[in-house]
Amino acid sequence: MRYRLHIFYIIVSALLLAACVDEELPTADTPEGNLDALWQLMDERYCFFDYKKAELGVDWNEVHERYRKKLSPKMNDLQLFEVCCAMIGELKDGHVNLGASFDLGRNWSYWEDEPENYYDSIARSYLGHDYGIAASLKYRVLDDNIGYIRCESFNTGLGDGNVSSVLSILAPCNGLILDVRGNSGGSLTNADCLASHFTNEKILVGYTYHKTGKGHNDFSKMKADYLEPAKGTRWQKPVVVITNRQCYSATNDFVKMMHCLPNVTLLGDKTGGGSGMPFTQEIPCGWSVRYSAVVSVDRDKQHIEFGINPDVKVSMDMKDVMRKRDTLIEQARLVLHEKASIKP
Amino acid sequence: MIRLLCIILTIILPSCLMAQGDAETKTAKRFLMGIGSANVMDTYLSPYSYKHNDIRIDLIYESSRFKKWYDGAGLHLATMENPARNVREYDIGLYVQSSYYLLQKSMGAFCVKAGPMGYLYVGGLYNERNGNNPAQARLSLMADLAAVATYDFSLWNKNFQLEYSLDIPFVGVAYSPQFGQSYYEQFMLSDYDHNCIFAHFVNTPSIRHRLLLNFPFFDKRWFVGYNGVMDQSKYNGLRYHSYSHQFIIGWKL
Repeated sequence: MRYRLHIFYIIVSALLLAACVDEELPTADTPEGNLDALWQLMDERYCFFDYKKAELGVDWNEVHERYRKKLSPKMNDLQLFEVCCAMIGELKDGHVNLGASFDLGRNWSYWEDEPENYYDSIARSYLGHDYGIAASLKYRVLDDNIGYIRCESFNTGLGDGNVSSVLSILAPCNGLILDVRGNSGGSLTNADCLASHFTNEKILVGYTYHKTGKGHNDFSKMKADYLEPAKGTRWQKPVVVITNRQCYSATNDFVKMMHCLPNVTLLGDKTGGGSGMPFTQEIPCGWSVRYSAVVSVDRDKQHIEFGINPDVKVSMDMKDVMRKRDTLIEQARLVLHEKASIKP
Repeated sequence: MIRLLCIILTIILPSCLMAQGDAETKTAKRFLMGIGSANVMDTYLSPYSYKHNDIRIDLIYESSRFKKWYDGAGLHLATMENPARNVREYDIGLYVQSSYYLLQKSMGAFCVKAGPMGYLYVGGLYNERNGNNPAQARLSLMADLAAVATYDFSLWNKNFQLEYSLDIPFVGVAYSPQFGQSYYEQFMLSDYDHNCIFAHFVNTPSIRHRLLLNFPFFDKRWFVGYNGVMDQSKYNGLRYHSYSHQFIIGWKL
């Protein structure tokens, strides 16, 4: 009898302890339920609220009140999508997206409202027809003995072998142009891989931290990020990295790392930013929600969410465009020749 | 934390040593298969429970020695969809367990056993839509409280047994990312942030239980019944549950 009671107590205790660990966000698939879930999800997990409040004056509670008034029970999916996108668009963050089967909600004003400073047909004329391709890198030697590498994306896998081979081929050049215009990001691992071939020593390039709770200021301690030298070929001569407003996310991080190196000059336009590593969640109707979750700052602990300024600001000159010349590439060549103390 | 690991290992290791040390001991082995529902929520991947168009399959092997040591290993596979039914998650888990029923009492046909159990779990949950947080790894080593009650009876001159078993995670260690921590930070930047958790029955309020009918059929002993899994955890600001109700069938090996 005593043991029966023991078993009974164990079962009762277990049932009491096994209180349900269940959902905390609104679950109703209604306009109010979806908008409230989206707002709360962002409120608890987005990592730039204080920064956006300081820079843009975004008051997230006020935003909620304002957009909730725009809801009506009979609105259709397209109308709700429009309201939800406008709400998260207040954050002006390219990493904040709402994904539905019929559209991708975004705020890409960081580059859509700015000059592109890049003409694909002109840039391609510098590569010609006999350029090399190594993973995501296209490269050739320009006629003034400057190496030119075009990296359009960090989405494609990039290995040390690829970069070492390209740099070995370009080794006789007097300088190197790394053109990352239009590169909107991809894998941080690929960005690290490329940058690691331009340093001979381990250097501090920034800090990373993440949310540890639902409060706007619940963050972990800053973790120092170091760029370590690659084991393969490492470039020792001057480098110019050409940027424009479309350089975003992993490319912004790549530019952040390159900016820490002594032989590197940033040239072109300010990068687009996007220093928050995005996570994905969802709201009751099944739309995906993408948001910045992990913060990356530069080595001075300054935000680079809105971009990194170039050392040499250069915009595309329309006269050059008419002559099919890329102003930024031409300026980069001048900088490299000057650094290498040779005449063009 | 090291002291805790030692305590847990002292529970698990004797079982393994005994298994190697006494080959002459007669062992009873059985194989069970469960099929049923799946309801999984992991707020690292989604704030909502994935419990639609779901199925979970369990494969379980168990053996007993000395009538006190019970060992087991199992594999489960599950798949389920979100409330909007437009995204699927896949769950896989592997466990090994060993329990020592130090308390035993027989009262006629009724027998009750209870004792500690060592439970090692390795698993993962994959969400087919997410980008930088597409999956969640699960790893835990727990000391559980386990109990089993059996009742022997006869019908039509055949021996039957009804068995109810219960397992409650009590204390141990578990792995978990921090609330908004990426796997890139953990594995590429070696960023440790309370990823090794002191797990206990308050932050891991879980229960696994099973009701089996053991009966003879064609010169073999068979088992049919119900298997219930209610695994839960809430630490590092992340909430997790995995519920399953299964029909289970098996046979004695």
